[in-house]
Amino acid sequence: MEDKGVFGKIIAILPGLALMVGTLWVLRTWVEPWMANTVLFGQKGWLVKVLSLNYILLAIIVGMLYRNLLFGGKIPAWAEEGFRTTRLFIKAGVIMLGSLYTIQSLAKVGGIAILLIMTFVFGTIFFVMFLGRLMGMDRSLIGVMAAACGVCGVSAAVATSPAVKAKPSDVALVIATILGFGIMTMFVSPFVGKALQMSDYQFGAWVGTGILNSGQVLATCLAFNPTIAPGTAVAYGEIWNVVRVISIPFVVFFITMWFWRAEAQAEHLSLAGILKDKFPIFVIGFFGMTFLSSVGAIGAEGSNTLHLMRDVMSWIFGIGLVGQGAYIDIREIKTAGGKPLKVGLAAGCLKYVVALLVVMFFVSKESSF
Amino acid sequence: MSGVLVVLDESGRAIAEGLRLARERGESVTGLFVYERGWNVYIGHDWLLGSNARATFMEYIEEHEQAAEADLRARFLAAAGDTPVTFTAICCDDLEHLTDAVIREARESGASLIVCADPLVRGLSQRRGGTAALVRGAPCPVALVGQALAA
Repeated sequence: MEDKGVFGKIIAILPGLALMVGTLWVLRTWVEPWMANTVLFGQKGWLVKVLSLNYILLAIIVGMLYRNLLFGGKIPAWAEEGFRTTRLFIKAGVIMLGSLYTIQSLAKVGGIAILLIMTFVFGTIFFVMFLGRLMGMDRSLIGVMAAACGVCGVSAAVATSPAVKAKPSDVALVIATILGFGIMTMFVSPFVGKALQMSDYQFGAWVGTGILNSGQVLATCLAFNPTIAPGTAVAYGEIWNVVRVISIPFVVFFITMWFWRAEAQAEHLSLAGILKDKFPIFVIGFFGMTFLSSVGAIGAEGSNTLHLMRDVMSWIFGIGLVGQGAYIDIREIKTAGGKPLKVGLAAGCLKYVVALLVVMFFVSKESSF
Repeated sequence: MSGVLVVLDESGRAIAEGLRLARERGESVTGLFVYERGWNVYIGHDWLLGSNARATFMEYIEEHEQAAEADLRARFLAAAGDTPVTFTAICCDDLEHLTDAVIREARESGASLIVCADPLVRGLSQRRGGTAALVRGAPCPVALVGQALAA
């Protein structure tokens, strides 16, 4: 591959990045205010109040339209480098989200989050293993599907597949299945949350537990409530998300042990090795921000610094979510099928509905911080 | 240079048919293996994955691709027997679909016929439109070799 040098790489990023930033600017400056004032079916702001459309959902929808209609299914070369910065935006945003918490507030909800996440992660893994074996699926495919449904979708599937020697074609199928389910829940969940009058705390806990893919948890929380501040859906949802992300190496270890136990050529496994290879380092940045927030290094609540930081975060996530939409290829998702689709849908729906019931019955509406 | 271009895939269905058609037409035959490079984009949703895990996955895929090339090359050469054949391995770039690279190669080599299994079992092709894009964009006729139907 041609080496463009640092300057060349920056230039290559600009067109796609400009498209993402420009799209978000138009959505926030023109489209969202227009929707809030437009009268439809005799109600002012019907699009916002009834359809729950805000700039976050619109960012994803427009990103999807770019990829699937305007670009004909492939991100063009001139935009690709820019769209690829999506990952950087989301990770930077998640690190900055650490500033919404203090060590004390994390201690308050952390216990519930860990309990709920671990119960659902391993409950889903066991369910997929049971159903997969019942349906005669290949063990490596079961392992990848269990990780994807249990932890956080694409990230877990990618982390697990080398360890269980999954066929690349199977990994692609699992990813298509997970994304299809996740996109459906991303659009449905805000309606359900509002229809059931869930609090931000309950909503964050629910989608953080029940939605399969990390990026979709973030998008769904922001679609429910686009405000980024302590006590909002994204603040709660992201705690659940971070706990899930941290659990990836442990889940990979568990599934790898399960896989190789039945294989003749057992591989040497070490939890330390898997932790070193799979631990997402950016999580340390998240907790670093929480530490700075706890010692008051980034200003008190209501300060200009925090106000500016949250404004920047809303832009960072918005830009990243345009990119998220542009990575959704409807044609790829439509190819999902067969046993993986059945098992994935069964596990995904079960987790989604049971998480909703648990949150509605056992998690109070009042926020913990 | 005209000739028959046989697209190699894990099903191996196109090999025998490609060799037969080449003998029938009295043309040279080339076995084509395309390295799938679309994974980096395909797993674009792994936003919260550590860089190490992503790199490990990409290395794992690369090992698979190399093993697939070695396997298909051996199968193609074994099936050809005494027939003189050529084997070519190319890469698609990470924005190209695998079939785009086949079309490019067919155009550059001046192939007179492409023989390809349907469905094409290689890389991400089944997730990305399979042989439909190949049939639409090929510069020459395409012979699709489907699964044999049970009687």
